[in-house]
Amino acid sequence: MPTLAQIKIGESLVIKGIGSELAIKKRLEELGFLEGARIDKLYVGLFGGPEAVRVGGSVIAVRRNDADKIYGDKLQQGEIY
Amino acid sequence: MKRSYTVALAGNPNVGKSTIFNSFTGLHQHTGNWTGKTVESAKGEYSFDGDNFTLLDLPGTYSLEPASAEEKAACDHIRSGEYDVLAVVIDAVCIERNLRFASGIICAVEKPVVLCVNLIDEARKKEIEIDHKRLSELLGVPVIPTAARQGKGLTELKEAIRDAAHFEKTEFGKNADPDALARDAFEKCCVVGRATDKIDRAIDRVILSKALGIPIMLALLLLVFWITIVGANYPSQLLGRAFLILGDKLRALLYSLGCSKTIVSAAIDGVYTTLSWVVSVMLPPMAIFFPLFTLMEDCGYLPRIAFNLDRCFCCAGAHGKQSLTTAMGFGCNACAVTGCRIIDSPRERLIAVITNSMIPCNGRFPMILSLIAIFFCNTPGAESSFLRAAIMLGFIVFSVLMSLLASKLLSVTALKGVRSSFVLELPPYRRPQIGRVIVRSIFDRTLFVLLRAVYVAAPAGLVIWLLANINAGGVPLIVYMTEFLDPFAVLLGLDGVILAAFILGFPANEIVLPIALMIYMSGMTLGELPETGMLASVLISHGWTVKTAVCTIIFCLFHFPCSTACLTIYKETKSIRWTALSLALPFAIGTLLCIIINITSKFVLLV
Repeated sequence: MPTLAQIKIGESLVIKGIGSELAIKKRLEELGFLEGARIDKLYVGLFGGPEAVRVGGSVIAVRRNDADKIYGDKLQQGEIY
Repeated sequence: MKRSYTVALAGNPNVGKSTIFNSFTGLHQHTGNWTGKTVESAKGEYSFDGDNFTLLDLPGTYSLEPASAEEKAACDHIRSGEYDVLAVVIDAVCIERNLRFASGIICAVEKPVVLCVNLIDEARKKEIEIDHKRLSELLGVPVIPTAARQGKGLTELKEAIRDAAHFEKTEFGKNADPDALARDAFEKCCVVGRATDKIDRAIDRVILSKALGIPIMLALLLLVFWITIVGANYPSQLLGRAFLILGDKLRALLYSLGCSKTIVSAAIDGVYTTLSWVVSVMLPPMAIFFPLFTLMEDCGYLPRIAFNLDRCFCCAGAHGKQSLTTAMGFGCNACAVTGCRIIDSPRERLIAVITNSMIPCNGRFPMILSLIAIFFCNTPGAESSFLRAAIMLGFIVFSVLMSLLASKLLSVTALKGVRSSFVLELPPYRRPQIGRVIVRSIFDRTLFVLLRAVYVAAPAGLVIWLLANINAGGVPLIVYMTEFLDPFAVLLGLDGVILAAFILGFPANEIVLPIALMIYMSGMTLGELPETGMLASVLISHGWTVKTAVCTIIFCLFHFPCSTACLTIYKETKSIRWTALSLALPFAIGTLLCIIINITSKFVLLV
């Protein structure tokens, strides 16, 4: 199952889960990263910087190694911009 | 009968609580379009329909489970019930997530709750429709739609709060599951159209792009500096001339009142001159820079800076949000130190606090600009003002890089530890209320500078005048100080006067240059207010060279923080040890750099 860090910009995931060892798991859930939620990968920062995703009406950025613990099913879809 | 009630404002960060607070109370909490702007609770009052209300603006919190000290303060207050009405403000654009937050509160709290759905106008633009009546029935609380920045719905909100205050809350929702309640509410009352944030995404694709992101940031900063330099020039000259005329009149007045020459000199050459210098040199740049910076803040650009720079700050052992406190440091180091509360982890917060004074604040800009104008680029004209702005930008970038180095140093020595997480919200771009921001900002800044001039510059001016004009052993007192400091200062490529000026300028950075001037010219009457031309001749005639200017600028960037910043650091850290380090570290770095520059120029460049 691909993680947020592994998909490309412009692709989307339907969240299946967040690695439980992740310290910010609760915070992410409060921000809308719930099971079944769709997230669209929008931007990635320089030199392996943060990844910004659209989730539930807002845009949230997380660091790459945290993004690697958000996993789900890749969506086949069209325009997300 | 007039009654008094307490109302608390709670909600996610950046939903408009402070906007509502400001419009109700007429107070002016600083609102900015990025999460984490409010770090302290604010209190204000308003009257409505014969009753008095005390309004409490709590810091934003994403949930009732706090992740930081500020969030904890907000949550504790929400749970404490120490209010008559809890007004929960939520963002209509992120309605799903905000409903979870709201339902959590409604089920947890025993006092009356009023739900304010703000940013209705933005939601409508994004084709998000919310049925408020239905939502109110489902949640069991009054639901008021508002667009606080446009002033819409605020009267209805006041009415709802008043009604809620007059009646006790019915026992509701103690058995309900907040998540299920939220889901139900969202499905039944909200219709979300397709995401139409095309414009924001198009802008971000440029602003956050790997290739263009940082160049754009630097270009914007350059533009801001350039506007500040060019825009401040003429007003500074005008003010200078006005103060000069006023000064002569005051001098004549004092003489006519029979004051002795000494008293007149102390009053005019000492107090008045310092005061007028600080105002005429400080005020125009500050009144321009701050509003420009606030505009950037208001439109939502700051979190994008944090996004672009996170990797750099991460590698330096610092938190990504330190890029934001760095940006705040350009305005005022003391304000930035308070702003470091947006960094949740105590270790990384300390790193941000200790290194912040290495970022030059508005108080230091005029000094650096004057020296650049005299020693690096002294031809007038448009391209040269651009060159000066570019040189200024160069020094600033250097100071940021040094602050990153210092952060790295701290993170591997005194403040070792685990890197904390970083979650950043990129808010939608909002059109800044340009008129309001500019007027308010200029007013605030003018007031701030004038007050500082009165409280700090005037007394300091008197003290310096005394030191410069009271003789002991045939020589002014100040000379003992400058001669004592001279050997050490020369090592730094400076002279005793400059070093004395920095030390005596501890109360506020703005007065360093005036102090140096006054010492150089002590014994003489300051007949003409120092304009750049005169400043140049005074400095050069006392042996200043380009090297002196460089070392002075470097020392200006890296020396101990000003008194206000020190006090704030102590207040935030509650530790003498860390405050002492905040004083010592920049000073040590400045000293080291100046010595290196001095030695290099002496032996390598033979200058």
